[in-house]
Amino acid sequence: MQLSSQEIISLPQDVVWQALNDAAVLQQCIPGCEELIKQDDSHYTVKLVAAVGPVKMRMQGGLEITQSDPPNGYQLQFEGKGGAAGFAKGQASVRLTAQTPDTTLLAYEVQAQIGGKLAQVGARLIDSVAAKNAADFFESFKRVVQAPPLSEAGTAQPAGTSPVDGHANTSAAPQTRSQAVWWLVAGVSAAAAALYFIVGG
Amino acid sequence: MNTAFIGRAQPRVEDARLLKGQGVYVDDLHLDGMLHAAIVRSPFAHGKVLSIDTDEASAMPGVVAIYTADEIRSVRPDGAVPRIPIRLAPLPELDAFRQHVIAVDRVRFVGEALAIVVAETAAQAEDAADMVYADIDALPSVADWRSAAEGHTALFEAAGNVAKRYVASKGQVEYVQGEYRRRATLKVQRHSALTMETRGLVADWDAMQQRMTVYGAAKVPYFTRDHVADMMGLPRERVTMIELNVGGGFGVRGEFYSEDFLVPFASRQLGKPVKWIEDRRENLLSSNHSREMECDIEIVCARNGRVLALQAEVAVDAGAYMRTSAPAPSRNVAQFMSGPYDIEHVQVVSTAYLTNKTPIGTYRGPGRYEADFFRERMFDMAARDLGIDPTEFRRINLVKAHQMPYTLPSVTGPDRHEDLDSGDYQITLDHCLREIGWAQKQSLQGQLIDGLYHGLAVGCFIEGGAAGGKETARFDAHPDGMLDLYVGSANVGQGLVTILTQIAAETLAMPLSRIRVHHGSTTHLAEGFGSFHSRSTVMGGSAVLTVAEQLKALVRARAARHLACAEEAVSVGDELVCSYEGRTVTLAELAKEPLSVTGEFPSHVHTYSYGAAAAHVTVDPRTGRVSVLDYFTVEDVGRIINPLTATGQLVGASAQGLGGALLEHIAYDSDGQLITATLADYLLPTATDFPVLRAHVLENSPSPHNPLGAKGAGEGGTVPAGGVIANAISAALSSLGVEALALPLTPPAVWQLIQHAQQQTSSCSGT
Repeated sequence: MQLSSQEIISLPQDVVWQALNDAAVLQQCIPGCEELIKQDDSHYTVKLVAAVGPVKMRMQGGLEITQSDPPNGYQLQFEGKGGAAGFAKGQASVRLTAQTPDTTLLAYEVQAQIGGKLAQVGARLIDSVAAKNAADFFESFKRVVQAPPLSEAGTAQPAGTSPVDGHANTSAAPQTRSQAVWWLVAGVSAAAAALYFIVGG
Repeated sequence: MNTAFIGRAQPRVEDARLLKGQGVYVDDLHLDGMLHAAIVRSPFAHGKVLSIDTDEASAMPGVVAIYTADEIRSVRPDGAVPRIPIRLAPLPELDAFRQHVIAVDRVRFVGEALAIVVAETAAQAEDAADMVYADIDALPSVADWRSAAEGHTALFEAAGNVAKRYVASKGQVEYVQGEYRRRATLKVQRHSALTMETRGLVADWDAMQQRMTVYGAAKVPYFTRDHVADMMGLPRERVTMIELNVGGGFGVRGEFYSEDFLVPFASRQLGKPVKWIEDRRENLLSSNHSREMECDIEIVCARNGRVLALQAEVAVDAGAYMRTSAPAPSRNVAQFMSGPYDIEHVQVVSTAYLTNKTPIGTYRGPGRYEADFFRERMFDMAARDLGIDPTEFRRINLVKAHQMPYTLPSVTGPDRHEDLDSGDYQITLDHCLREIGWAQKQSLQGQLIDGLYHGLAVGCFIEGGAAGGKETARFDAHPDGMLDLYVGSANVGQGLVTILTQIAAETLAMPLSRIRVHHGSTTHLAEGFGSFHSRSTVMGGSAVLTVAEQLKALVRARAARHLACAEEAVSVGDELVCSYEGRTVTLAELAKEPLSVTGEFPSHVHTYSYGAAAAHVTVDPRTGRVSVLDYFTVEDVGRIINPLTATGQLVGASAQGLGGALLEHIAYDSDGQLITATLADYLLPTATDFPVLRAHVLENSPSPHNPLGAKGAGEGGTVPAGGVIANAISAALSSLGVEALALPLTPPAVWQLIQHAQQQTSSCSGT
């Protein structure tokens, strides 16, 4: 799937840039994210658990920033494996442009491939769901970034979302519409969108 | 007593029980202490299996055992994981492409089994299966036959991506000169049988008796029994396959799949019954697929429309392995490209390419559905080019009655001579044209009326039947006057019990109610074949007829002893009542001593039913929506045992054929990921899609090769549907210059054809 869009964020460009490189911020914005660890300047590892309709996934994987151009943007590659349930991989690029000293335009493009149950059950839904939820993600992102001071990672949950219960088993239990699987990282909600599903929603 | 049971419109004796909800399907079975299995399947289309981590899954609630290739290897005497056998047209050169019953080091399609998880409940097994973590190093995927042919990535390093090339030939196509020639590339999409009941098994190992019982067998229980026994190192008589009610077969159910080994294996390891029932996603992922072919075809004709030569190259997307029935579609499309037509020069090369997709197998009319679409489309294009009426074009090219038996092109591997056995093909064509109202509806052809284009098309077809060499039957008579009839055939929903009861009742002049048919389970007979290639009526029915005659002879001999007379002096009357000079003895009396006879009907000659189908469709040019206003099929089946079931088979087969023409599509993305694994994605015909489906069966031309005169039927209705529908749509849209060259003809596909044709027209007029 492919997705490209843009968002206006009411913060200076360098603040947005820092947030996009702050693992703690990103982890808060990704429901179900158990762990987001910055390995070095360009590598992150991620673990998350998500239940998506009938598809339950425990994914682990990594993300590599391939072309960092502070504070104007970066490109990244991501790959996550969820065992028999499926996998996702792809590339994303993010560009930041200062519109005014206090507002930043964030433009992103994502290309992603999905496999396993994700593709079998979700292929029909991915484009529309990803687009809708990219927008939702930015709401959380803005809320977290624009609400100083930042709390410790993991203690602040973006309002309006509920963490996915990592141990849910029959958890097709209807959750809120923001039941989501965000893989992605680097804050680039774009890539997250690729991994986000609502099944039966 | 009226003993004319053959040919009678006897309602199915199976139905009362099924309609009352008293059927017993495999999931209805609950054995004491039964455990439940789930299969861990590969999410990757192609990859190296580095490791499989079962620790977390093993610790989950209710989990009893998890088996991967390692565990299976460790208990096998030869240390090897068994591979799925090839049942139809096996050849040594196909061995390299057989699938292991569980992935060994490498996965080659999404859905390939990696592990089997056994737990106390099905839900626990499924949850644990999701926690089995297979570390797979993805390899590039071969997602279609073209990339298989390019060969940058090999599915099998040593053997390559071509499983087999079949060549069907007749005459010398390369020397044919004709006034008219046309070449086109046509495609049929991947689709397959969708059974209402998904696959499932219950395996029950009896350690005390050292006996394996497997419930849920279908189609070919003896073949499966033999291979389960061999793989488990058990004598064949210690493995029993039990057929329960079957919710749809159509070719895919009852073949040997991975689970046919894995579930009995788990049961034996654990010493407990194990049930496995697949869900719909698994069903679409792992049951055999079929039909995906691309055909580059050329037709050569004389000016008068006589077809002089047919030449084609067919690329079959065969999926990742050659499983039980995989050779049949590729072989059939070559041999039956010329179908019911007399074409002197034919050459068809059909290549089975291996791709990283679910393996193919037979689906109702395998290879024939595709061949008919390719050929009949070419016929309509040629007829239109030559200004010949399409019905006349077919009439002059059909094999004539006086040409019977008519030799089909020979095909390589395994070689076998094949003749069309009997028939007057013209009769079914005329019958079909009459029924669809061809003459009256001609004025509608291609017309735009109230915003809809109308189109009509007709096509002719043949249907092969009666493979398998022989079938077995046994009668046991009882002192209460009842007869038990045991047959090797299997009931896959085709009304087998009704048909065989009718044949036995007529032969023995016995009421239907005194005959009980037992089928599909290996306990009944030492050997049998089953139900495939439209064989059960011809082979199973002929076996019943043959053994019924043997029973009569036995009864006569025993009656002679009772009546103290010579055998030939005994007269055998209705219900096998024997009499001599006013004294009588009944079957019940004779059966006080055991009275049993087993016999078989052997035949290596195939039967060929034949017929024609026609459609009247409308196409909405604004949306591309096709409506089938009328669809009619007629088939001569040699001898009709039961017109109700024969007609029902034809109507049901038509519906499946139309589904393939207009709706059904198993889609993959460019990485070999299946993206249609729900019934919201894979579109099946529903009751409202084709409200007018009509069919007639005829019996003008009995088969000369069996005592019934019957020919295989049940698959024929699917065969012409793709060609007829594509021709009707092309006829409807002929004023726009649309030629439908690929199935399925969904609304978006038809709409795009219209758009494309209009762009062509406008760009032509612009220059």
